[in-house]
Amino acid sequence: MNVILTAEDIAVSFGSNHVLKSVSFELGAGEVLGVIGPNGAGKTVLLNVISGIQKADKGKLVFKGQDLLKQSVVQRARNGFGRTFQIPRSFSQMTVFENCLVGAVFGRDMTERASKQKVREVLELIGLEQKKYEFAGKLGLLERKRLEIGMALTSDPKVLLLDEVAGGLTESEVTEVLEIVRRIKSSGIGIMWIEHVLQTMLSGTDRVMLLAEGTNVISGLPEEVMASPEVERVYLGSADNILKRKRKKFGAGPEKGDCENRE
Amino acid sequence: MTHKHVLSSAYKLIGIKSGVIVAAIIALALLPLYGSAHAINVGILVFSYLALGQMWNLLAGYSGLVSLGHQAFIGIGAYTLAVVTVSYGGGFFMSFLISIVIAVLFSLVISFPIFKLSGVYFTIGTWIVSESVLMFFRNWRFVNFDAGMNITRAFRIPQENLYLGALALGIVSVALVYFILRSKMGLSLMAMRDNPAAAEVRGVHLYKTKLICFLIASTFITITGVLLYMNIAFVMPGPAFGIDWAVSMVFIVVIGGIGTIEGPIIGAAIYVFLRQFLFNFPGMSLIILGSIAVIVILVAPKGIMGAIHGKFGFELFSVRRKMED
Repeated sequence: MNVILTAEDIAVSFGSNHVLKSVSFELGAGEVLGVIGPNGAGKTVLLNVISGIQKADKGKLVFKGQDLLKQSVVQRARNGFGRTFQIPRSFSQMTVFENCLVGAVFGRDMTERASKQKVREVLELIGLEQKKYEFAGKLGLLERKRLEIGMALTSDPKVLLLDEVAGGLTESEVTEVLEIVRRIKSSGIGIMWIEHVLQTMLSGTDRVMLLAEGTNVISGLPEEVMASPEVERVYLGSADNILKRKRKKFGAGPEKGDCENRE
Repeated sequence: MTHKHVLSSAYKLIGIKSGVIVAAIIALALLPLYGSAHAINVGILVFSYLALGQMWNLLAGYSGLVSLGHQAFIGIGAYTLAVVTVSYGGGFFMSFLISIVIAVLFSLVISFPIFKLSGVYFTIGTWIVSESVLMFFRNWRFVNFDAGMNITRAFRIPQENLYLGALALGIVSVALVYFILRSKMGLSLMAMRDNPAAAEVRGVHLYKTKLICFLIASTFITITGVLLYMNIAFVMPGPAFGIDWAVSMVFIVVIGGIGTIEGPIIGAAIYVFLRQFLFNFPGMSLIILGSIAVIVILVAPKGIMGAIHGKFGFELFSVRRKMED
């Protein structure tokens, strides 16, 4: 694997709340790394740290031999980091074409004229060529999610950070988004993908990293990670805790120690 | 319709638009030859307010920087004119040059603290700056405290010259905003207005973009202040730094159409004519102006030009980008 991004011991706190205690990972070119974890695990915070929106308390983030944590949001965007937001943040009073043009012009520091070909290619990829002169504020959710990906792609990113691009979409819409992600991956861009719709993400990722309690608990092939008891523990709690909750809800139930014998 | 037909229709439309604009400018430039003194005076006000409105629109309508403090720059322009011509015996050209330097320096100084604020806090911040400057001038012996200064030299300027100056200022303000918005900077301004955080993630340098826009608007408003006070010829801190100027700019842009270049043109004309008409009803004028603003906001939230554009798609100065351009 040709590693393009390395994170070491990343930590972020909001007051006394240690959202990320120590997160380390590697991302390869053309690799899709899925990040899973329960609500509040710090997945979006991690993407914010990588894109520069959130400052890290400590750690190292190495890209092309440079420590990214010393760079501003704009520098990171221009150095090859594209991202989407959980709730699409398109420029509502600008057209689809202009939205993509912003990424192409400022993400690559080029003129508008020199950026049009790039925008044309991206609009074709995300399937919004026919709606290029519509205002972004008037698009439906799927189109806004596509546009969000398009805006990130126009800056020619080396690393693409996807935050819940399939959230809120129907099954057929999710399939469309998945196809777009596959096409992006084939162009050699490293993708880090957060998703609550696990089945969707797992079918499109090369590796999965489980994030919980501020650390990356486990990472590996999707099927290996999903088969791990750690996933069940993180999402549902320990077996003892599950039984305790059941007893509390339904009254009498299996006695303490039953969980050890259940297999 | 073939590609050639579409192109030829587009060229025809552009030709008609350009023809109308050129004809209107020539007719307005010749007004001193056929217009009355009153018409010329109204013209000075319309074009001066157009320049103010256009700059406020650049800040609020296209960049999301809603300022209620840019009257400070009108006052700075007015006092620069007074001090340069009265205290130092300088000329008008010198007044313009010095006012530009002061406006740029003052903008740079205040931008540092107020750019740390955003949204409504930015608006309040600009207002506080302007009120502070007002207080400073009221207590400054050099400018004769609250008693004001007579700009004696200004009495000798022919109204026709002032009119042509105001017309030039109005036209330049429209052209300047148009070319800024058509440039790379315009793209960054509109992105910043719609979503600053997203714009930054896409590579837009927010501080630099804000600063350039703020410097341009402040400097142009200062120059307009010099010209306005060449017409008024008497400056006092209260009126020169008064919130009334900001209210006028907001009214012009809101009525005409925020985020459109044509909006301040229509807004300035309506505002000046209303003020002329309401001159005989001093107690009622602000109530009537306020009521009109409320009605327009309720009926056409995007102003007159916004409503026309929404209904008919008409734009005289389009800043939309096209793939084919």
